[in-house]
Amino acid sequence: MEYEVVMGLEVHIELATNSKLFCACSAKFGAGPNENVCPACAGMPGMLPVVNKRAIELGIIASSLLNCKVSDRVVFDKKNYFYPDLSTGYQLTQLAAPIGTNGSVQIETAAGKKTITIKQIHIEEDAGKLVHDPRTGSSMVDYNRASVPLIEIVSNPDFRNSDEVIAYLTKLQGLLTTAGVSDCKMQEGSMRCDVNLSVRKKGATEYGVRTEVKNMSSFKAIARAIAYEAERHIDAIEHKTEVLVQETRGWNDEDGFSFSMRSKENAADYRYFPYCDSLAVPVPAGWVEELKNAIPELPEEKMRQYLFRYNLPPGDSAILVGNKVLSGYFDKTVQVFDNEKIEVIRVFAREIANFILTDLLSFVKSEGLVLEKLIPKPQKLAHLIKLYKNNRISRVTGRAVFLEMLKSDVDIDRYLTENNLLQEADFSGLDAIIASLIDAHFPIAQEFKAGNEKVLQFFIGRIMKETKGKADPKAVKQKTEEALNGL
Amino acid sequence: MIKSVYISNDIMVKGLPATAGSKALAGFAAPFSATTVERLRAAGIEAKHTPVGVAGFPSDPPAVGGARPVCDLQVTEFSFYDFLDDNGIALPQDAPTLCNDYCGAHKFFAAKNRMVYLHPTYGRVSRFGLIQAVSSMDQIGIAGKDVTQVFRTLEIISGRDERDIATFDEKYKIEEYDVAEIPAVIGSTSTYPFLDTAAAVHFILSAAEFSNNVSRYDGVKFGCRSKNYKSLEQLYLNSRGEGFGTFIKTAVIAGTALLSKDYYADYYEKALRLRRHIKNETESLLGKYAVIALTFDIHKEFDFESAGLFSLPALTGLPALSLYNGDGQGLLLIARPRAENDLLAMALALNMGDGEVD
Repeated sequence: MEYEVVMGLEVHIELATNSKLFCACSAKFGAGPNENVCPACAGMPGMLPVVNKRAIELGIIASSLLNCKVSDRVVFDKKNYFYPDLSTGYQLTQLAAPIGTNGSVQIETAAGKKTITIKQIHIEEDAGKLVHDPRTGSSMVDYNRASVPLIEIVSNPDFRNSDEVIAYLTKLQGLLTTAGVSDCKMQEGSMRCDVNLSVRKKGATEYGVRTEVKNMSSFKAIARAIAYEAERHIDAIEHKTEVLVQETRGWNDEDGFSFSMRSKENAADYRYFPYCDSLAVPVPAGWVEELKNAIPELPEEKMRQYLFRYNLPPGDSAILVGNKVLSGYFDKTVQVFDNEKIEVIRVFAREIANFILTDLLSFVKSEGLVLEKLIPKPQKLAHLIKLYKNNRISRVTGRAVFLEMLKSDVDIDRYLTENNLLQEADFSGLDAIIASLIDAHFPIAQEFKAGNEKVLQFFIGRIMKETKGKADPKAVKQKTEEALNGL
Repeated sequence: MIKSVYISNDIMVKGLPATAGSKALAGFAAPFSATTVERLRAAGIEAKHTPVGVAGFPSDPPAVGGARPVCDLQVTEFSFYDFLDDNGIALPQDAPTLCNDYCGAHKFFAAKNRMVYLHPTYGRVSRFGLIQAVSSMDQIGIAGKDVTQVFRTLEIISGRDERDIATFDEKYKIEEYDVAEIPAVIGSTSTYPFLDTAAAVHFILSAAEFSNNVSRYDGVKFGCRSKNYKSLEQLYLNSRGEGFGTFIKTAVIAGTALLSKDYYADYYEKALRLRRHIKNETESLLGKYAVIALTFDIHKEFDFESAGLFSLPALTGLPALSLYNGDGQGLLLIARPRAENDLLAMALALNMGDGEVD
């Protein structure tokens, strides 16, 4: 019997705001325990939530990116559950009017293109974190994460295999990081994915018993958890190994199995009700439009631009697009040439990509440095490339100077002069040097006319040595050729 | 000239105990001051705690520090309105008092004690620093003997506060004008059609919101922690059991049930709809008349009907003033949104009980 796996995803994304959803505390990851906590997010009495406008904006941007209908107002609901990580005893979330509804996103797998439909996107606050100490048996509460803004993206049950799931998550990462909605780091928990999975006989229209798996902290873990759950379901149907119940399950990645966390029978009743204190924030169409227009180019558009506007090779384009820092640096550098003709821009674009992908990347890898911190100003790289393209320096010099620029804020022109690295297009005395060398190696020179092409290289090499590399190789080649032809 | 204003202990004054009259918050010192307290101090007015508790959370057994709960209630099945004894709440007479009257009892007892209670428009006064009881009805009001002082106090504490997004920009400013300009409708409580409904709606909504707002008192982070526990669950149960009075316990149990999947649609949702209906009907009446004046008998017990009457300002968010009108009769005046001056004009015309209105 053939089976079909049916999955829907609930993806939690931490929004890239500076402060929390309802107070002014920093929302940054990685602070010491309870460093980013104030009376409001600690759930002290007497505090009132004040909604973070940027969180709403990011919710609107995410909704627009995923082609959702954006709600015309933002309202919150209270979700009650009593647990130590929840300082107030309730979570503020959106039940009645999510910020985005009825969206869709295109994914691509080896099997082809597919549209995944999105049920809704809602904004909510995160809970704190419990740290358990097995030695003392005690648990500590860290409220740094309490009230950090999240969006939850709820898809319809459109997924049929883990390839689609991974393609979808990768797509979300690309879209949301490019638009600055989130950094989507799974290992830091700023992107978390719960998989709702059921299995049915192929061709059936009714869904099977659904289980929800959570706590996967990487794409690999998600794929493994899906494979495990699907097999468990099929075994249960086929071999009656167990009776499937609707439940929430955790994933143990180390040992590769899922385990029951709670079943439907003892599912919490969250007692949702509307939150009166966050009076509705109106979302006028103009605001949505403004935010949409400010969204930076998305990966596909950027890819198209690199391939067809700049004629970059597909491999180079893909590496640049895949790294926001690199593509941002590329874009800024290429912008310097904005006023040139497209043919000229393409030449420079190719060189910029070269410098970034060979020199910069090899340096970053070899020295293990943080890319964000060390990059020289795009204008300086543009200037260096202009020098190279105008034959003022050689490519080897270019690389050497660029590596210097990565280490310190060097003044390119002064560096070149001080180290005597500039080539001179009309190197004075070039004619004299050529003439004397031809004289010294006259028999060899004569072979040129007889058709020995290697002779030209022989002379160019000598001349470059004599001029200490400062003569423009093009001019050297041209003049030597003329001289040899004139014999 | 106002020299000092009393602050009930559910409004935070930095460093002072903020217990809301409840044992659940015993030992909790306010980490900051409420916006209203800051504004009074900025105006050079001394903000001090009430000599006896004018508490936010009615508590049984009586709360810490000799404070006296608002409502010494005797709970009967599904009603916590027949809770008040004859003397009611001892509000201070010598200066205005800031307190939160989500349940309406202050309005009744102010009139009974020949005082006034002003319930400002929802959003007129910042609730930042007010210990939340029933969030959608919480509003800092002012009780006092001198009606002008009460309205002067509102001038000082009103206005936009970015820490409470419900507040609106416009600051309240006293304007005195002739009462003849104000068309008023006056009637006995029996002529007002929704009092029974209002009482039920108020009970359902306030129980639900109470159950939610007090869930943060777990005995771990602040307030009362039971000494009697062997497990985390016991710590929770006993701390809450010992900290909360019967009133809160009733509200928590009833509110939790009313919000549950089984009852939400039949009770909570209906109550929300009815609340809107009551608000719309009251406002349409206010379309014709600037002020609705409802009479009540101050010698009567605070019963279900009174609960309905005095819940109207909290349910609708409309400004209201209760006062004594002579002959054992109290008056609850309800005005249009932000029209506190209509209330003032009426109160002055009534000369605090000597005048007659028809």
